[in-house]
This record gives sequence, C-alpha cells and structure tokens, in this order.
Amino acid sequence: MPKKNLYLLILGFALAGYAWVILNHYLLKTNNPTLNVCLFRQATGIPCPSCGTTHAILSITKGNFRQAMEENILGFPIALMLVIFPVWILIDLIRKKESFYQFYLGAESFLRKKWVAWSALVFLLVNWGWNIFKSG
Amino acid sequence: MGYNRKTAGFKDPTISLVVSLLGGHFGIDRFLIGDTGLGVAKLLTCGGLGIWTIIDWFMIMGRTREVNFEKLQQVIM
Repeated sequence: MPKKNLYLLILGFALAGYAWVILNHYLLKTNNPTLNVCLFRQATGIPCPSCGTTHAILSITKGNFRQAMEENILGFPIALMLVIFPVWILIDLIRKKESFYQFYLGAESFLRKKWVAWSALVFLLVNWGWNIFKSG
Repeated sequence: MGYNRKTAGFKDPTISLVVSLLGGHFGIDRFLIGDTGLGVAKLLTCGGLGIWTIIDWFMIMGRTREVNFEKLQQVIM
C-alpha cells in the first residue's frame, strides 16, 4: 500500500477510534447501554476476540488497569496505537519523512514469520476463550 | 521458466470473497491476500465495528486483483 494511502487510512481510523471512545464514554456517563456493533456477537451470541476492548480502553483512561485487563487485554495495544500512531504520522508528515511507513512494513514482515504468527494466534485463541468464558 | 499462479503466490479473487464473507470479521481475508497490518487492525476492532467487514465484502475482490498485479510486476522486474 502506498505511504500516502496508509497514512490517510490510519489517521482516519484514529479519528473514528477517538470518536467511538468518546461516544461510549458519554453513553456510560449518562447510564445508557453502550453500543453493541459486533456483527459476530449479534449473529452467534458469542463475543468475538476483540469484544470488550472499548470498555477496556475506557477503564485505561480512568487508570483502572486491572479492570481493563479483565475486560479485554487487547485494549492495551489498541490504546497505545491510538496514542502513538497519529502523533508519529503527523511528525512524519511535518518533517517529510517516512519512518512510520518503514516501521509498518517491518512490523508486517515480522508478523509474517511463522513463529510470530503462531504465537499470536495461540494468544488470541486463549484470550478469545477467556472472553467467551466470562460472558457465559 | 514460466511462473504459474501458485508459485508466484497469486490469490483467486473469488476465494478471497468467500473468505471475506465467512471470516472477514476476523480479518482473515486481509491476512490471506498479504495485507497483514490491515488484517490485525480488522481483527482488533471487531471488523472495524462491523462496517469494514461489510465494506470489504464489496472491495476485497478488487484489492485481491491489485495485490496480484503488484506481485506480477515484481515477478516481471
């Protein structure tokens, strides 16, 4: 994917992510139920591997790290990415560099290594099992 | 020596559509065509809150052809 497209896509994702977190923060604050948009959960009744990450991110913003871990540990990498990636991309755009693009390409080839992919898969499956167990 | 579809790693757009319909929510369609980063993003965001999952049902065949074309260019050069 060309650098420009990737940067636009990630900035768009980050904006959507912030809007989503703020919306859910507002809903929780006004005692409204948070939105359930997970197609997999709606179709099967079973949570998907990333269900609960919005709540986890909201808990992280309040400093409740233990609660965030119980809700979904994947909230931590997502929160980190939401904070770091847009800033990194904006710095790249200002300085006319492509350090984030090089990082992205490197991360992709790292994830394609067999042992990394298998480790990630096992971790995700265990986390998914925990997600299903605690919702049941 | 010529390259066939398999040795060059080309993906069938129809297969990627089927994978997108069945496992697109988990980003498996993106992993299949080699968009690993976007696959991870899709997996971690409940398929982009379900919206990206649906968009990819219509986009994945075109993206697969694009990826095949990029691979073809690499093979030729």
